[in-house]
This record gives sequence, structure tokens and C-alpha cells, in this order.
Amino acid sequence: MKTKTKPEIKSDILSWWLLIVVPLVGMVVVNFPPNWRLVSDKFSNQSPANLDANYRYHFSESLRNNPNQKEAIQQEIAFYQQRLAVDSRSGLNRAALAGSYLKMARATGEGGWFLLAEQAAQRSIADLPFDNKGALLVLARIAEARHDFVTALRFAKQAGSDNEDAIALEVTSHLAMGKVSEANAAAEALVNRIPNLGSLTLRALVRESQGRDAEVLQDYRQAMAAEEPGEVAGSARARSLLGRFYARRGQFVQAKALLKEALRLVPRYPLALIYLADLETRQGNYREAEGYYSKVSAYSGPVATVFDRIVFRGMARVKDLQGDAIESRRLRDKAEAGLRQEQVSGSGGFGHRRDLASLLLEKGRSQDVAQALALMEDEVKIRRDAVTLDTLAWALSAAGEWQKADRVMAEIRRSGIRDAAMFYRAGAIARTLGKDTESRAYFQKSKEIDPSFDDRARQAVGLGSYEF
Amino acid sequence: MQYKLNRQPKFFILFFLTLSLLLTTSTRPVYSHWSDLSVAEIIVNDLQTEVTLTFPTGLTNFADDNRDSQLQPAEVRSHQTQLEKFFSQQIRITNKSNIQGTVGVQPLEIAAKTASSIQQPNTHSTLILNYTWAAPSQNKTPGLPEAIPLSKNEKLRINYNLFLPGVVTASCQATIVQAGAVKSFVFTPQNRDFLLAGNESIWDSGWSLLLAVAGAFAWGCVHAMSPGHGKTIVGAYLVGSRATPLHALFLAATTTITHTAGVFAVGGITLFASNLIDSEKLDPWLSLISGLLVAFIGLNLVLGRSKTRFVVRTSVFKKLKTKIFNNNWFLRTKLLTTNREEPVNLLNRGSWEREFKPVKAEISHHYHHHGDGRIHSHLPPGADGSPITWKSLLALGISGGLLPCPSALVMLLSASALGNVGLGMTLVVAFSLGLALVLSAIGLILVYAKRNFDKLPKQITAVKFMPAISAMFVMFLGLGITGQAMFKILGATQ
Repeated sequence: MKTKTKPEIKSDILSWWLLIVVPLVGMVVVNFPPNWRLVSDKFSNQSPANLDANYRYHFSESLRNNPNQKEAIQQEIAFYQQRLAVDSRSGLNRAALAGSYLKMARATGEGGWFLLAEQAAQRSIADLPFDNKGALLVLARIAEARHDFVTALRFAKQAGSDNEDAIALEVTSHLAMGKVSEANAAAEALVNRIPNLGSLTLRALVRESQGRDAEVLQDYRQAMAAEEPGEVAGSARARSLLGRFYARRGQFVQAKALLKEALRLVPRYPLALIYLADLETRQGNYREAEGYYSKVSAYSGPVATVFDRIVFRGMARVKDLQGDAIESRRLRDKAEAGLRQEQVSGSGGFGHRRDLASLLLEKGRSQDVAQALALMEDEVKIRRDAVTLDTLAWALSAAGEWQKADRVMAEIRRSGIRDAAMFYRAGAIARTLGKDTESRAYFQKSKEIDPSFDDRARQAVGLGSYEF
Repeated sequence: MQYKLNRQPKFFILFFLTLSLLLTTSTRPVYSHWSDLSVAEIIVNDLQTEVTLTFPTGLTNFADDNRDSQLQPAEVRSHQTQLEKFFSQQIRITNKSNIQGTVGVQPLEIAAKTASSIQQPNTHSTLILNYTWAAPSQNKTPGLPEAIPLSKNEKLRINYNLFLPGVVTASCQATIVQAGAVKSFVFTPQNRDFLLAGNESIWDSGWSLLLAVAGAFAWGCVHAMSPGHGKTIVGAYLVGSRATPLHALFLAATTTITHTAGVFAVGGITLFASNLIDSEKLDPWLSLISGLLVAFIGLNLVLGRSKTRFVVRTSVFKKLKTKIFNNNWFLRTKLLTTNREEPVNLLNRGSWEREFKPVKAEISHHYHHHGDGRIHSHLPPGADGSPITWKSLLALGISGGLLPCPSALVMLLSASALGNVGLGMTLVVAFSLGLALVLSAIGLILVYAKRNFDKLPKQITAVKFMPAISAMFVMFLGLGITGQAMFKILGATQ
């Protein structure tokens, strides 16, 4: 037998590496990159160190035994489907099934589940036309998801003014329409009836839209004190919304801690991931921001969800800030394609007119401004909340209609909302109109609300630099 | 240097082939959208199959008289014939006799007062489609329903074609309820058929089961002709000893039975585990383990079979092995480095190497020891002229068949991945019968014609590459199963 020379031995080792390691690495590289983060998520079991003690989740023990959200809902769906397999004409079981489908729709953002929920609710009403609150509330929530707030409120009223879910729906629909005082009244009634995590969170949202910041924090603290083990999704949502509140006021440390705590409770919570991504973008941590946006896409898989356009836009902003105009344009085009498909499907789709309009304005092309303005003028016919009015003001400014834009900003200011970006826009409009004193006051207010509202933050919301 | 240059292109070809096929494990996502979506609840009852379908109204524009993007009950009734014809073409449900069900279309009837109160803008409409199968005319009895009843085990095939034209992302999420069991399926333009099997039983599979068994049998026959399964043992023994046809048959049967038992042992463990654990949770993990095992087995085969093609030496490996297992490794190294032919390792089933070397009568140099003083040989019993016993034949056969071969394992583990271990075991039996047939045939040929054989027949050039190619196929199959299982696991944990 011949002995091997050193070069031949080395080439053997190389061939082993090529034949074994490279295909394995190739498989890992092709299949697993978005999923490695799942591994790290599973290991993050402690609350973030700098999280305020009032916001910590105190039922960590229950988290270990908790099945993940989708699994729990799937079990619920299977349970009601089994019951319906025995008695397919049971209106109550079908209404409950519709409710489970809706939960899945809200957890995943997938349109198919909304359709299933709607079908099940309609069939439930066909089988049980009277006193079927469950089915009516499902239809109400679907209408709200379609931004048909008038229909949503009609269904809520049919379900009964003493029903807590119906009252909750009134809060969210009125808030979305910009009817803050009606939303506030409903929120107060809800909290008086049942002061739990959900009702207090809703009231906090209403108070935030009125600019009552101190009361907002109070409500969130009370909500977290009232939370119970098992309502993990609600706890994650409350922390995500509070995290967003802090982020908008430049308190990034607390914001990040809250969002990470939300992810500890529900590891793939899309809202928390998106807010965290926005926060990282604000702070210039672009790689982390892209990572969080990618997680949202990875976890939703191949099906289109309502989060897709948010992710594409967010990543487009990151690319803009990184100076990659080509990639940024590609991502915005993708987001636009998705939003336009919804517009084509008419009012039955998830009419995100405002999102399409703001996307067109973000693209910054003069040929898109007219369409953006038309979309917003249609949108304000159904809702006049602060964010919608702000987008209208943006469209009016882009179209050169500064006076109209100024009047719209005045309406926003009357609502009492405290938002640094909105005040900055008001200042920009005032400066363009030559109202220097007013302009300075608005810029000052913007700085007070969020001291970190810098060029990067302005660029992220499509504002140029107008300061003196 | 020349040797190195010759090998490198082959390695790069192998590398790129492997990587490109790895991409098959990563499925390309298809983004479906709200306006392309439909949903269906399919309930299989005794006399009919009821489909509650919610679909984009645009697909039935001909019936939307008032153009409100919804089909009202009045519109459905006025266009009933048209709608029935339309849906009978788009959604076909056939029974086991391949007879298509007749469809009746009904609107979702909601009391008028309630309907007006829940009216809202929408792009989708909901209809109820009832599929029935008419009894043959000679069997019709007056006063009794004309539709023939569907048994609990009725096998229905659903062919779904209701997609927006040209929209590849369209889909229909279907929930199917039959005999108390609930299943889900997503119809897409690429995946339009679903078989409702009822209480699934492999004995109901009919022609497809027969075909699968015949295929497994044929595979066993073909597989037996490739290197492995003790043919060298059988050949060496039968050629070099006073063997009879009965000995040959016994040897072949023992090898096959041992081999089948080994594969069944693996399958039995799988079935046992599946009883303890929820199969829905277990299946993806079994698929993953199966896929990894198959891929690993395939990789081993590729390496082993590549050695004879690419002349990869494992002297480094052997040196390490010798160092670990033999204290006198210096002496052993010296012995190994002397220029002499290696003894034939016919009974070494731990390695997939097969060297087709003749076993000659002059075998004194095959006797050796491993440093422990025990002189022995790895040659088969009787090869040195000593008398043959049934015990030695049994031992030979068992040793030849002890380690399950990759092909049978692939079959069993693939069936496990599909959730049908019983079918897998049936196929393994068929495979083993094919294997036994060929081994017996080879044995008998050698017995009757041993005079004409002093070495095993040479392989033709094209067949020389077959072992490596088939091994690569096994590896890619394993990678594919692994990739799919990973997606299932990740999807289940979302």
C-alpha cells in the first residue's frame, strides 16, 4: 500500500470539508437565517434590566406553561369545529367559532381568517337570527378592520349598549373617526363597568389623543396592576402601546425596555417588533431596525398580511437614511403595489387609503401628489382623527395649498394631542406662510414634547428642515 | 500535482450540484392577497356534500345585477341555473366511482329584517353549494330519495378551479368535516386536487397500493444487483466451497429476513413512539429525524462510493483509528506502510466499501491478529475448505443482513414522514421479497455455474457511476424531507 504524501493528506482534509461541511453550511444559509432569531428569543426569559418596576410582568411562571398564541387559538378553533361537526346548525357554537377565527386574524394579520370569521358569523346569524351578540360583534370588528366605522358602530349598537365588547368597539371606532369626546365617554363607561387591563388600556389611548400625558401613565400603571395571568396578548399590547408613547416623547430607554418586555411575553408580537424597528431607526441603529422588520416578515411566512406594507415602508425609510435610494424605491414600490391591490378591491378590502396617500407623499414625486390629495380628501369624509388630518395637511402642503394645510393643523391642535412631528409640521407650514412667531412657538413645543426629534426623525416622517 | 488538478474540478462539480439542489429545500414564498382569497367549509353528510363558499364576487359578475359587488338572495335565485352550471365546472366533487356530483346553489338565507341590519359593503359573496349523486335509474324506488347515500368511508375527490384568471397567488382556505374529523387544506392554482379519504386504510387504495407494492418489489430486485447485501459473501462462499442450491437459498433467505427484521425494528420504535406522543406534534419531528438520517446515510454512501471513483484515500482516518484502538500503533503503522495488498473485509458491515477482489485459495496470509494474539481470518466459513454447518451459514446470513440498507430505510422513513408507517412496512416486505429473489437467483446461478466464474462479472462503464448517483439521490431526498419538516415545525410553533 502506498503511503500518502503531506499534500495529499491536506487535500483529503479539504475534500472532507467540501463534501460534508459546505453542503451543510449551504443548507443552513439557505433555510435558517430568519429563524436563528427564534432561538435567541427563546433564551430571553428575564425582564430587561432598565424596565420600570411598575411595568414588569409578574406572572413569569405562567409564561412557561403557556402555549404560544397561535397554538392556543388553533386549539380553540379545533374545539368549536368538533362541536359543529356534531351539530352543524348550532348558531352559538358557530358564533364562538367566528370569534376564534377573528382572534387568529388579529394575531396573524392574514386576510383569509377575516373571511372565515365573516362567513362563520353570517352563517351563525342565518341559524340564530335573534340575540346573537357574538356574531354581531364579530361582524362589527371586521367592519372596523375594513375602516367602515359607521357600520361597526351600527353592529355594536345592535349588540347592546350594556355589552362590554360593544362599548370597547365604540371607543376604538370613535377614536379612529376622530370623535375624541364620544370615545372618552365610552372609555369612562367601560372602566367604570370593569376596570381591567383592556378597559384601562383603551382609556389610556383616548387620553393620549387628548394630550393628557400624566393621566395616560397613570392608566397604564393601573392597567398593569390589574392584569391577570393568562391574558398575555393583552399584556403585550399594553406594553407595546406604552412603549410607543415613551418613544414619541424621546424616552428611548424606557421605550425599548417596554417593547422588549412585550416580546418576552409574546415573542413574535408584530406590533412590538414594528415599534422596536421604528425606534432603532430613530436611533440610527439601522441593522437592528432591519432585523426587527425582517422578523415580522419571517414570522408571517408566505401569506400577505396587514403588516407587510408597514414593514416595506419601514425598511424603505432605513434604506433612505443609509443612502440606498434604489433599494428604498424598490421597497416603496412593493408597499404601493400591495396597497393599490386593496384599493382595486374597493371598499370591501382593508381600505388603507391613508397609508397609500402617505406612501405616495413619501416617494416625493410630483406626479403622485394629486392622487395622494384625492385619497385624503375621500378619507377625511369618514374619519377626522389627528393622524388622518396630519396626512391631509402633508398632502395639502405638497400641493402648495398652505392656507388649507394651516387650517387643518389648527383642527389638530384643538384636539389637544401632543405629537412632536405634528407640531413640527405646523411650524413648517406657519413659516412658509410667514407666521414666524407662531412657527417658533410650534418648533419649541415640538422640542418640549420630544427633545430628540432631530433630522433623522424628521426624515423618517417625511419632514424637511424648516427651523430657523 | 497532476493528481490534485484532476480531482479539483470533480469536487467543484459535486459542490455546486449539491448547493444548487439544496435550494430545493427552500421553498419560494408565494404572496396571496385578500382580494384573491376564498374560503370554504365542506361538510360531507350522508346524502350530500355541502360547501359553504365565500368568494370574490367578481368571479360571478354575470349574476351581480345591481353591481354592488355582492350576490343578493334574489340575484342568486334569478341566476340559479347559470350559477349551478358555473360551479359544476369550477368545483368538481367526484365519488369513488368517478361520478361527478350534481350541484345545487342556494344563497345564505338570513331573515329579511336581520339581513338588512347586517348589510355592509363587501367584495365577497357567500353561497351554499350542495353536491348530490343521483342513483342509477333502474335502482330508483318511488317515494325514496333519488340521491345515493355516501358512506362514512366514501372517498371523494375535490377538484377546485375557482381562481381569478391569471392570478397565481389566488387561494381557497378549506375546512373539511367528514365523519366527525376536521381537516384543513389550501387550494391554489398549483394545487387543485384534494382526496377525501374517510377512514383511510391502505387496503382501500386499490390499484395505487398494488402499484406501490410492485414498485417496491422491483426496487428490491434492482437494489439487490447493486453492491451490498452480502453478495460478495455469498459469491465467495458458493464459489469457493462445496455448496448446494439449498445452502444458497438458505443463505439468501437468512440475509433477507435479518435485513427485514432490522428495518421493522426501526419502524416498530417509530410506531411505539407515535402512540405515546400526539402524532400531530410528533410527525414533523419524525420527518426531521427521518430526513436527517436519510441525508446522513446518503452522504455516507456518496463518500463511500465516491472513493472508488475519485480515489480518495483515508489513510489519515485509518491512522487516527489505529492510534485510538491499538496500543502498538507504531508497529501497526510500520506494518501498514509496507507495500502489500489489504485483506478483503467481507464481513465488515460497518463500512460501505466493497472491493471486488477475488478470494483465492491461497489464503494463509489472511490469517492475522490485531495485537491481541488471537489468530483469525475474516474470510467466510468454508472458504478455506473447512466443513460448512447450518450454524455458520446462519451466522453468515445474519451478519450480512444485520444493518438495514439505506434504500429500505429511505422507504420506511419516507412513509413515516407521510404519516403511514404501516404502508412503509408493507413496502419493505415487498422490497425484501424482491431482494431475496435476486439474492437467491445469484446464489443458484453461482452454484450451477461456479466452474465458469473465477471472479465476479465486471461492471459496464455506465453502471460504474450508478452507485454514486443513486447515493446522491438518497442524500438529496433526505435534504428535501429535512427542509420540509423544518418548515412544518416552524409553522407549527408560530
